[in-house]
Amino acid sequence: MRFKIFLRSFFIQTLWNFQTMQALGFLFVIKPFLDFLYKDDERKKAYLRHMRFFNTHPYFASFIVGITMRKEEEYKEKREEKILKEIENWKLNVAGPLAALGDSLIWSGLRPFIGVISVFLFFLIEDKKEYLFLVPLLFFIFYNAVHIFVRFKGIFKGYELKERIFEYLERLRLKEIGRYMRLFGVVFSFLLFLYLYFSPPIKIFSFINFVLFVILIYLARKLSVEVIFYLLVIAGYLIGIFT
Amino acid sequence: MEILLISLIVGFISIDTIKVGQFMFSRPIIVGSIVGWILGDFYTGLKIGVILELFWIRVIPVGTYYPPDTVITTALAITLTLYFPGANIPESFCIILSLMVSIPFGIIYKSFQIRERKMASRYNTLLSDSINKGDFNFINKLVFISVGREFMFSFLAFIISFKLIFLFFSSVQKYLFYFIENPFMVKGAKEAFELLPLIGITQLIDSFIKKR
Repeated sequence: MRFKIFLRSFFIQTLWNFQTMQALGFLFVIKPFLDFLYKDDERKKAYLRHMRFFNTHPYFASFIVGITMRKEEEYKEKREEKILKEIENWKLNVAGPLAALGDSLIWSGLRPFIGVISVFLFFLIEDKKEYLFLVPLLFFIFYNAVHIFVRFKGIFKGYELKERIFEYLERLRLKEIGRYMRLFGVVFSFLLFLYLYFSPPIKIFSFINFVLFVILIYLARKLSVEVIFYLLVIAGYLIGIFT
Repeated sequence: MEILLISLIVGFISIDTIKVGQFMFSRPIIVGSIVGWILGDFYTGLKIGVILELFWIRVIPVGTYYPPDTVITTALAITLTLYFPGANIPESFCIILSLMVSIPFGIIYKSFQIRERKMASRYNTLLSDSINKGDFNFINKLVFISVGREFMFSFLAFIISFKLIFLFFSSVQKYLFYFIENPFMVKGAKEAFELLPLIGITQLIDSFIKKR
């Protein structure tokens, strides 16, 4: 059953909408478990309970799915209304911190980090065309190794540990890992900059590029990346005229 | 036939952007490799994919934010580069021009996707009505409809945009050649092309500075 739920967790964002965000996706993920626990009117109530607003990081949502499964089981055994309240509170209260953790570890850490390493690898082996297939392959494998691990562990550990899930996540020091990935991502981007624009022999263009580098860092927070692209094309043409 | 195949692949990969999995098939680096490989030029596909990967390195659809459509933009840019009408055109010129044309399409499709998300709110009413009537499997149909819509939208968006741009390029071909034969235009495109990785590098460094 838990493996089935894990497979369905890949659909948590399918029914995303501005009203209840991931709630319908959450219901779709946990549906087989609710069908297994409840029948008829109870099933109807359970479905409607899980249609209330819910939103978190899509990968880390698995932890909440795991916890909810365990709590629903408890409710089925004990029939205490306070357990239903607990489920609702947990879903609301845990979603925020898990979203923050997922954003910092995956969206701002892992993905740009693996992205920049893959790009660097491309420029390093650009001349050896027979090995270039490694670039997208490594990007895909390394990213998804972490992605699938988080989703899988989320369901199982959430179910096993319930409220103690934060102690478990704390022990994994995920925030620190995210911070290091961001830091290394920036180090690699700077190395990529040096590799692309300051490889010997250093020419006058390298210094023009350095000035552009500083200007673009300033513009990065003022303008969208698409506008910067068109400005950079104009800059390229201007460099073409004056050099 | 190749364009039809690319459109189908764009349709499938677009599902990964938000709807199913988020395995990052939809990232330019992967889209670029696949489209380039199908069109018989893996290297150029990957090269454009790498440039766009850096370009949108910190962009991801999170919560209510929806970025420009990376799948359609990347696939369009590569297909246009490789199908560019006329021979002996410098590669950097083709890539710059294709990117300049493709990026606005990515932005236009982003607004369609946001509209689709707004419309998806009606799923809540539909679903609660069906549950109240005792139809517990209606949610499966909704998932199927939602994925199917995404697929069809991206499939059609790609094929229509490609045909439109290609027709436009073909009709202004002789004016394009005027630009291409101008050494200043070629040199400018080469300079602009070499500067492109700077965008992603500075975006990433800025995001780190901001976090701190």
